[in-house]
Amino acid sequence: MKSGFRHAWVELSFAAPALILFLIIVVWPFVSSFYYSLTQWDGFSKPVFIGFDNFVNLFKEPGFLIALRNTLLFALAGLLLSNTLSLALALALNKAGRAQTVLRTIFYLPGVVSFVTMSIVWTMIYHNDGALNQLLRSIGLGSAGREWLGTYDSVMPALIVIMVWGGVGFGVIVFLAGLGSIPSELYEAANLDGAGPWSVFRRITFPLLMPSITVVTFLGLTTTLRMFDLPFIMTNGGPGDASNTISLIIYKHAFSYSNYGYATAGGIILFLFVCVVSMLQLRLTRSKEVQI
Amino acid sequence: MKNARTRKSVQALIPASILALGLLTACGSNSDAGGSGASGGSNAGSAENTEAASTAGGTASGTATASGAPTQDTEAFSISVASWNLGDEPLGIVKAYREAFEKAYKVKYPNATIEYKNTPGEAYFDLLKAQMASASAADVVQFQSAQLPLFAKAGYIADLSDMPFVANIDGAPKTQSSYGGKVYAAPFDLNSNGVWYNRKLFEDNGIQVPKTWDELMQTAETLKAKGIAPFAGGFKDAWVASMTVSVFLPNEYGSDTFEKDVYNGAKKLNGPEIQAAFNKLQTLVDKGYFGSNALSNGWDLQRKDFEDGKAAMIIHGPYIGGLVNSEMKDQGGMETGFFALPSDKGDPTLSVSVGVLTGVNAHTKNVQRAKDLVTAMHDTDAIIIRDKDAGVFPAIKGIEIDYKEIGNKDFLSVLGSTKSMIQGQFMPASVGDVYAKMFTKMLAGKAFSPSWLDEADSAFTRDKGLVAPPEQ
Repeated sequence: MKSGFRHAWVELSFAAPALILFLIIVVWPFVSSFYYSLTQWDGFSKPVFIGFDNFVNLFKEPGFLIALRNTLLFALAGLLLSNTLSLALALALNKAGRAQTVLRTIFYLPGVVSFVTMSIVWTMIYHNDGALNQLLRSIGLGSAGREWLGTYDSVMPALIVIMVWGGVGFGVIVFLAGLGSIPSELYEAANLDGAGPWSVFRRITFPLLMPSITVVTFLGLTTTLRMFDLPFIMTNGGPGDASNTISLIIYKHAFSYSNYGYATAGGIILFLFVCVVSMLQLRLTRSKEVQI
Repeated sequence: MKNARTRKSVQALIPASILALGLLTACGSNSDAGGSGASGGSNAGSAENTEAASTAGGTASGTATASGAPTQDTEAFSISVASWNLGDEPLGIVKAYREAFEKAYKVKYPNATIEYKNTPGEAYFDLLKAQMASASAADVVQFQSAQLPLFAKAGYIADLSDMPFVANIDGAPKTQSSYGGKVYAAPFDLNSNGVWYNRKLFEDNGIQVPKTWDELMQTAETLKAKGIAPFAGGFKDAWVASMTVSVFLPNEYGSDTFEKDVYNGAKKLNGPEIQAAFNKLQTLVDKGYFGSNALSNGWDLQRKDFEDGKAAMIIHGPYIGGLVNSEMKDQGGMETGFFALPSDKGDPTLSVSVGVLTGVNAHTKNVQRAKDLVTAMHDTDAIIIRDKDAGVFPAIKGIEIDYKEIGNKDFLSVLGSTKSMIQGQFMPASVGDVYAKMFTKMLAGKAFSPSWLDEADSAFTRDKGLVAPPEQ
């Protein structure tokens, strides 16, 4: 028993440096944030305990519910548009032969462009005198032109287009890797059995691609549910609250208003939200995964 | 097996103990963050009066310089200054200013090295807060009036009440440099936002400076009829939207004490005063006076529309006169004029504030050396170099500058002759953001409804604990 006990201490001593750092840098701030979410705190003075007021006020704030809806919209758009487009492009590229390498690079390029550069270019495109409205005018659809980022019904679609444009390349790369790992014998067998393209996709490609779909969907969801940079740079959440997101609300309350307690409460809600959605997604997509 | 169980228990117990310890520490942390305050815990702002602009064009003399130091300190040392606006800019004005105050400082400290820690933009203030809280800030720090009560209350900045510049400040500069009756920072410049106009466009179209709200509407209609946007819009940038709304508020407050009354519960932010301001903004939006690109343009394109003569007026601060003149240098410059946003009866109220405050880190090793650097940074010759071509207006009395732009002379004249107040002292930052949101909502085609202001009132109720209360 004595040697076993000593053995445990030896094992722990190896883990201790990393464990202590992890506790100090990750666990402690995370746990203490629960306390700060129950206070009114300007970041300097002594926090004043106010119970659950921050949480109650968050749900009373009209902008918060709109931000919650917008956050979900970004997530859904990422899930449906980005994933579908990535999959379609990956399937097309998989049969593109030599052109695949060049096209893959082209699709991935938006993902490596500096966000600031990207936002300047898209701001110019969406400007009232910008390229999009000029294009519409040139084809006789000038009446459809507008301030794309300054109109309620167009600001979210306009931002979603940028998000999909910037993120689709990553999905293409992962799906292409997934497609490459499916044994060609399965396709040959299906071909011999006379299976059509839709049957092959539904019965072979899609089920065997599920691990890739799980990864792309998980990363996409956790990114879009924390959507911050795009609305922050392009619209600051406006006009009004039309493109506000939960992360943007948290940022403003913390760094613009010095209301750190309230911002922390928002952070906890976002954390729970991301946790629940991600767990549901993982459970759903993993249940569809098949092993060869 | 028993060994294995014991080992498992120990393995589980240690992280759990550390976690519990972390929890206890977390709950107990920051307990003295508000302690050791240098202020004695009195109220912020310590507004002595609301005649905010009384320093403009003042005549008192005797601005302090470092040259009055009795003895030289020849020790070689390094002293740091943190700011968001001491970095180089294309015109070289800031560089010349730095050289001038370094020269003044070296009269007493010939072997001193001044280290600049400049971080441009909003990031500076986030960084400063973190550095102040961790006692790692520069020896001398620059900040804005909103941060002063927070830093003073927490004991992060030193009391400068005994410094020579204090005798030469009053009105808004004194109020915004003080907390709990003590002066904690040297005010550098006076700031006030209003309407800047293109002098040539006004003259070419026979337009006089409007004195009342109706005259302003008439002016706008005349300009619009000639194909010129009355006002340049640049509300893609949130700060421009927020600043524009803030210009419309003082005229409608009805009293200098409106914000104090709101703080004390006597008035509400969803009452008739703020409604009147938003109704005026709605009129301008409905009539298309901000042009068609109001929400597409940011501050840069807004300025360009004004410089190109596409818009005749622009609502901004004192920086406009010097800035547009220098940006239009290749085309012979641009002359501007300035007027306070007219009120219904022609008796406007301007909001006046201090743009830059310079304080001393309370944790600095040598407070006297830091104080002397603050004095040098407010040396008369250095201030003139910094202010003259940039259109900056000194907050310290007795510094007379002969500005070359007519617009800047206009600004000083208007500031000295218009009723003024200090705005936003008792308003949490979230309220201004709600106003800006409402304004962009209107620009996006939604008609203003008084019920929108309920959100501003709720934000105030929620966050009023974050601002220092007025002295009763």
